[in-house]
Amino acid sequence: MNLATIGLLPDDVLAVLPILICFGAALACALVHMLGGGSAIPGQRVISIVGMALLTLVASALVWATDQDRILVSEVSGWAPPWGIAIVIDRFGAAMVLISAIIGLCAAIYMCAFAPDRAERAGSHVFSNFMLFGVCGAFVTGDLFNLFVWFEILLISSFVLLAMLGTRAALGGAFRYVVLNLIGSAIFLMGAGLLYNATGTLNMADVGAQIAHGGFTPLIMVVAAMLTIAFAAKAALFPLYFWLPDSYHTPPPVVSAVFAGLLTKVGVYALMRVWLLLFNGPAFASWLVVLLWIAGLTMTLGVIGAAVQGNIRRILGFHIISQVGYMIMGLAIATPLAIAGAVFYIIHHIIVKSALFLIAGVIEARKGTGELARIGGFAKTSPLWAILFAVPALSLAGIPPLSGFWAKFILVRASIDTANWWILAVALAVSLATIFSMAKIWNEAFWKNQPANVSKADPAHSNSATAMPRPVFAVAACAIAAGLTLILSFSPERMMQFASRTAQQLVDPAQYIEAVLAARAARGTNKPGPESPAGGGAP
Amino acid sequence: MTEFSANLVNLTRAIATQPVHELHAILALTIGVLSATGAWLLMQRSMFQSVIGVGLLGHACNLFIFAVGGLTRWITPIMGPEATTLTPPYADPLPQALILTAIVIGMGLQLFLTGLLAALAYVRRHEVPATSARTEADQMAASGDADVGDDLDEARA
Repeated sequence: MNLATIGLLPDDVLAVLPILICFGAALACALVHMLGGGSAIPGQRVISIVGMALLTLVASALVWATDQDRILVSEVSGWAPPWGIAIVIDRFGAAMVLISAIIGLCAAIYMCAFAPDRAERAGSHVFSNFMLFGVCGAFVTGDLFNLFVWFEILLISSFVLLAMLGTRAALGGAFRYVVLNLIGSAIFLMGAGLLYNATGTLNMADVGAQIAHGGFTPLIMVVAAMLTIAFAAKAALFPLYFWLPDSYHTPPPVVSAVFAGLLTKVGVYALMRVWLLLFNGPAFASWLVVLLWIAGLTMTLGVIGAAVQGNIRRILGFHIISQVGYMIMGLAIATPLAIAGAVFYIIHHIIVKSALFLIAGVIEARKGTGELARIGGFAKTSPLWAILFAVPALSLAGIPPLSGFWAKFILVRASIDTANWWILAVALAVSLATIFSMAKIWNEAFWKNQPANVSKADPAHSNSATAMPRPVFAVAACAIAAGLTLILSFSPERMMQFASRTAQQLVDPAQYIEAVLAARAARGTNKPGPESPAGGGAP
Repeated sequence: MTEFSANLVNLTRAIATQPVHELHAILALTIGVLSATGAWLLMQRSMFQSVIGVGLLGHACNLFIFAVGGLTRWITPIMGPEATTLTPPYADPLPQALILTAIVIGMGLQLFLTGLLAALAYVRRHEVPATSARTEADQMAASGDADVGDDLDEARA
């Protein structure tokens, strides 16, 4: 079965395959976890790997299919949009599903390197697959309330994964994360309710069409603000980013790698969707400058926060914040080139950031701690890990010719084209500061000698063999990610062309809207439901 | 007893026969009080109060969406056999369906948060009391728990 065979499946089958696969993997893991007894953990590991490999295959087919200028639409249980829930996959959605699948696969492979920890024995495979289920769902849905539900699925799974280790730091980090996300969800829900009141529909394409055709009211602006705040909290934008560095370093490293790669990016994805599809029009253009300010502040504060940290995963956590700023910068500049830059940046960032977190996990497993003051000498003892770390770290900092350079180059170019000089200065300065942080990790963990004052008898770092009995899996997972970075780095033009095509589709939502609402035209309007939805809400 | 229940029925009927716009005022006030209380509780230091605050905020949110759908009385949003459109006024049933979903999710999360609180209290009770944050950090680092910076801000809660 090759890509084209899967890609030629009917739309409504192909579009729901990603979420079905994740759901199936999660259920199978749950079943094995409950019935498996002694073989429970190896069984779940195999299921996770097979599930993610299948998802990667299907997602590749999706990218292939959507790159033929097809937008896949599936009407859930046969209700035509805008009444029923539509699953819609365009280039952007397909690319996001593919990159999530690859990260899921890397994480599943990586887990096999380690002896089962408390979280894995408690069934973390079930929840990580459920989280991927939520992530994929959020990327493919075409309905705003359905997006809320997918968000909840991925958040609830992430809550459980965060708290699973049961240490005090993990529980405390999880608590703040849950409370902040609940507030974010409440604002999201209110925004969705108001939007329904204003437009009489929750189908994103329908909302976009109505607002574009003169349906703009001050109420819509309030909705835009509410949805932006809700997604900004999930994407860790200024000023709602403080929860991220507090919680991302407490769970098992593999969990935080998946979180780092995917969760904030679901927020970024939702922001891009909302601003490019729903609130796309001249009335909103002047508000994009607010987003640009937020982007600048997010970048700067993230990188400053990282400068004072001494724990690898905390440093990397602050860098997620600063990197998310770049993506929002692309969205806020909003030219096709800038959007293409944001898409490129998201894909580059997910790969690179997950790789760095995976390697941080290896360091922690070897040394028993991620505190830079207590570790050292990795370049000498394990040069392979040093190389695997150096590639994504340099890429993150934007050293040419690595992928981060190309991503930043496009954004810089876009800001020059639109004469946004101050954001250009901020972006370049933050990029320089990122090199400083990466150099700090490199110097402390890899270059300097193991500090002598840390006793060798310290139980925490004498057990690397028991903590990581099969390092080949960890090497494989990190090599996949580093290899992908190198592919992006040395043939950026293919990726750039794909990003431009994606951006073309995003800046001109007419294609998306037409694809979704074509189903309504085909069926006529005899479906049960309010004929003129706009009149429905007003009492 | 029968007199009491008769009174109760009368009272309910009295509220229920208020003009719709007065119900709006009652609902608006309720939402305002709930969200203000929720926000206030969330700003408190105690984690338990945050849990209650999140719950109240969720209720405020649900009532808000309920109001968004429109308030009517004794009017069902069901079309007659020949009709193709609903004649207003009617309360849109879709937001009410949305609230059902939101209530279920909210309740699950509320329970999870309570459980998290209980787990945190359990962990705190069973850990070795530390004389200062620094020694606590050392202990935790030695026991393989790499992450302790969190606990410093945790201690205030």
